[in-house]
Parts: sequence; structure tokens; C-alpha cells
Amino acid sequence: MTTAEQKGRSLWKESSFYTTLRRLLKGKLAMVGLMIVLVIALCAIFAEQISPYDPIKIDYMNFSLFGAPGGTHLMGTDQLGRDTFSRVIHGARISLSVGFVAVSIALVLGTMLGLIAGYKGGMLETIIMGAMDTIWAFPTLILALAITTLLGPSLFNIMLAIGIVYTPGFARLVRSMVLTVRNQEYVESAKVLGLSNRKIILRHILPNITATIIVQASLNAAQAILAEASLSFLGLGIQPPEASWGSMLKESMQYLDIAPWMSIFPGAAIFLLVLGLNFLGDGLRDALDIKIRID
Amino acid sequence: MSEQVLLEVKDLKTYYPIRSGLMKRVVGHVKAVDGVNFTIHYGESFGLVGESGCGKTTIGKTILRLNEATGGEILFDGKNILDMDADALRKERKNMQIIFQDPYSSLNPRMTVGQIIGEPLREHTTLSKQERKERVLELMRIVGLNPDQYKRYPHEFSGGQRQRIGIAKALALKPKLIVCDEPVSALDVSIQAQILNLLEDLQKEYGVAYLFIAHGMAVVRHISKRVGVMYLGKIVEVAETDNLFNECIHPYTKALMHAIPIPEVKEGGKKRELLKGEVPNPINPPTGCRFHPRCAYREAICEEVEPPLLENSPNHFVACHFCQRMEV
Repeated sequence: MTTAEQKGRSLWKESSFYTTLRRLLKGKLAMVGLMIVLVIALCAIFAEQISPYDPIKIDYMNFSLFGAPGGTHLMGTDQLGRDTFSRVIHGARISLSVGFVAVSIALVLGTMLGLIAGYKGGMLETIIMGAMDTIWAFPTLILALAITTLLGPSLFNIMLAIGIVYTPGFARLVRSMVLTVRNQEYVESAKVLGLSNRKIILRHILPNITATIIVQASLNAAQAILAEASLSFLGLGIQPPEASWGSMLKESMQYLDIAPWMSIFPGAAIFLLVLGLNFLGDGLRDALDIKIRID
Repeated sequence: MSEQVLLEVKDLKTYYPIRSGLMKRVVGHVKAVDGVNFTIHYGESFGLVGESGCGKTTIGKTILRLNEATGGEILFDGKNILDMDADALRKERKNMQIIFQDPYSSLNPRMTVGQIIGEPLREHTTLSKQERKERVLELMRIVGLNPDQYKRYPHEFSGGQRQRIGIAKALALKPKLIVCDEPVSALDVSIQAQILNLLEDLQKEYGVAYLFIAHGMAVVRHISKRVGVMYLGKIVEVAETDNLFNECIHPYTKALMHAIPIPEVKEGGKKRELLKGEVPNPINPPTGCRFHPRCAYREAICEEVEPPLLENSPNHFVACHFCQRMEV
């Protein structure tokens, strides 16, 4: 504690990070969620080292088409003799990076728009929220489809499309939080001190809504991963021979009766990651709630 | 205490527009403050009393430019605050501070006590980090907080302690005026006295002037030198505190006096005259004297002519047509 005290200003950040982590780990489901996400993240990072085969290498030899799970191929092989396990491992990269980047885009854009709309109010708010509501009115997948069609299918365009689709969610959430926090007396007190709007937003408003934003981000990441899988499933996402869980599902569909493992494993991977992120999000919500944080 | 005027409020009006419809057109105004005059001297405390919704908080916030005034002047140290541009206002800010009613929402839950009390110093002084910390610790001692709690968060404190944090913050820049917006209304009675005593001690020590807003007479009596009684956006009676408590004239002030709790009703002897009804809608205030619909002494003139605030006896101003007739 004494060394931490000497660090002065950084103290609250540290202590608040550790308290949050400690409280997060107390929750059983959150713990499970964190483990799942961590394991999948490790798979994604060390995909080259973990996967036993090249995920896009076609292997017609050794009668290895539609190979059932077991033996040298843990999760079997697909119609081109590629190792499903290696492809699932490499697919984790796509899913996680889409989840992370798309949600980051939505988070940054949405938070900025929401902060401006909520804090400034007036005409600006009407315009921003009007635009957000317009985007919000489209069914998620249809809009993402439209954007990827427009921009062409590529990994970054999928991330951008999903990011844009989830921006209104953040903007609306942040705006409503700002409207609550803005009228708190400590914000008025900051105005009485003559603080600039920038300082009021950064010092008094943003820190009081970050918890909500983080929870929303973790839950949205799960949604974004599903959206990527859906886009890839519809053929507008990751293009062959690159492996993503969604595109694997698409390819496996025609062989469902002769090689069910081709769809079971990527499907299970999507299910696990989304479940893990949802558990984590719920756990974070509890851990970050300052009202029940009594040590 | 010098008799020099610190704050002079002249014919202050604050209206809130009521907007409605898709285009947000202004369809009316809530006349929260409607032509208020009063002065506060250096080092003096001026109490402002009235029931909820009478505009007393709005006055406090308008003086601090948290609300924009619709008309009138606010002279602080001889300068009109309402004319100031952003820069001039920022410089003047360090001379006026506020203590809020709710000790829970007035402190940022994500900042430590040290950061909260130190923030005014960070904004308006060039003190180094270390000097700032020393000053904050000193302030914590002054308001009766344990300096060991420098790193604690607001939620770890009780209501009374939180109000002390708010007071320390308001005091940090040694302002000339502190607007106290019902600073004890949210506290237990036993804590109220402690906080009032602290505010009194601080005034003696630092010569800060208070605009003390409250909804009950009892609290104001304790701390104010002069008291203004507000009703529906207007001041109906202003007098020195002792004077007001001994011989209040306006029927509304009387009603407030009768509402002060006394320990033993029977021994009090006097019959209580309590007000009936609600405060009228400030969007459309009654004609003539605003108090007439609830006044026991009203006559025809009250419904038509608005009584001006006149000096009834030295330093005792009343806005009532019948102030000469009112029994004391």
C-alpha cells in the first residue's frame, strides 16, 4: 500500500482495476466466461503453434476427404480433406478480431456521438439521434449485408459494417447515461468551478458511465461475432479458402448428413465464445456496479 | 463585519421556457423568479426561506450562472455577473461557491476525497501537487474530517461527513460568497446542528458571506443575520432575523412561523394558523398579490393590485397591502 500511495494519482485507477477484477473472479459464471474467452483468445494468438495442419492446405491423399473425427484428425476433415480442428483454431482469429475491432468502432463512434448529443442537447442532439434512430430502425443483419455488399466482402469491411450497425446502440446508451449524470450536482459543482466542457466530460461524466459502456461492449462483442458468422454463412463475409466459423458452417451445410462434424465443431465454437462473452458481460456488470462495491 | 455590499440582486427574473410539440416551440414560461431584489454584505449570512417550488434554489443557481437569468442585474463586488463573458466569469468563479442539498449526488463517486477537495485548487491555483495535497489535508482538518481518509471514496462516508467534504471543497479557494442550497435538509437533526455550527465557525474565521437557502424557519434562525421570505418567485418580507422572529408581518411569514415545530403544543398557548392548499402554478401566477388565494386576511384589492415591497419599519420590508393593520 505504501508504494502505491507514493504513486499518487495512478492509485485510484489501479485499486479500482484490482477491485473490479477481484469482484469479477468471485462470480462463478463470470469466471467460467472469462476462462472460455481466455482459452479461445490463446488459441487465436497461438493458432500456428496449436493447429496440427495447415488450415487451407488441401489433402486428397490418404482417403482423407470427409474423415470422421479421431485418429490424426481430432475433429475430422472436410470435403477437401482440410483439418477441421486447424480451421476452427484459425477461425477463432477471425471471430475474435471481428468481435474486438467491430465493437471498438461502434464503441468509439457511439460514445462520441452519445456524449455530444447528451451533453450539448438542442439541434445537434436532434440531428445525431435522428440519424442513429434511422440506422437503428434497420434489421441488424440486413443493414450489415447492405454495407458489405456496397463495400465488397473483406475482413475489414465486415468489421466496419458490423461496427456501424452497432453504433446506435452505444450512442443511445451513452446519451441516456449522460442525461442522468449531467444533472447530478457534482457536474453543476464542476460548472461552478469554471471547468471547461472538455474537462467536465472527461473528468466527471465519462468515468461515471464507463462501467455501463464496458458491459455493453462485452455483450455486443458476442452479437458482433454472431453477425460475422451470419455474414460469412451468407457468403458475404470471409471468402474461401480463408476459414471463419461462419464460412465453415456454410460449406458444411450441404454435407450435413454425411459429415456432421464439419458443422458441429465450428457451431460449438461460436456457441461457446458467445456464451463465454455473455457470462463475462453479466459478471462485469455486477463487478463494476459501484453501489454494491462495499469492501 | 463590514457593511460593504458584496452582492446586490436587482429585479432578477428567471423564467424557464416550456417547450412543446415537434418543433419545440415555446408555449409559455415558468416564472421561477420574478423580480427579486436583495443585498448581501461582506461576511454576512442572508437567509432565503420559502416552500418548495418558490424559486429560492433558482435564485442561488442564477447567481452562480448555472441558470441564465431572463432579466435584472446581479452585482457581485460591483460587477454585473450577468454581463460577463466566459473568461471574466471563469476568473470570478473562484470567489463564489456552492454547497448542495444532497450530499450523495454532489460528490463524484469516482473521485477520492483528496481529488474532490483538491479540484478547485487544481483549476484556479498554480500550487504544486505536494502543496495542493497539504492544503487539502489542512482543509480536511478545518471541516472536521480525518486527514487519513484522503484516499477514500465518497461512498465510504456518512451523509454528514459527505457534507463536510462538500464544505471543504467550497471553502478551498476562500471564496467571498458561498451559496448554501439547503445544506442540512437531507441530514439527521443531530447532524444538522453540527454542520450549522461548522458553517458558523467558518464564517467567523474566514469572513465568507452565505446565501443560506432553506425551506424552514428554524434552520435559518440559527445562522442568518437577515432573512428574506419568498413566495412564488417573489420576496414578500425581508428583515433582520431577530426582528422577523419577533414581529413578522406578512401573513405568509406568519404561517411559516407557525409551522416551526415546538416541543409541547399545549404549553405554546397560541393557536397555530397553518396554510391550506398548494402553491399556485408559477406558469400562471394569481393576479394582484400572489398570496391572496391562500391568505386569511385578503380583501378585494389583493386580487387586483400587486403590493410593492416597502419599508415598514427600519430595515424591515414587507409586501402586503395591510401591513399596518397586521397584528404583531
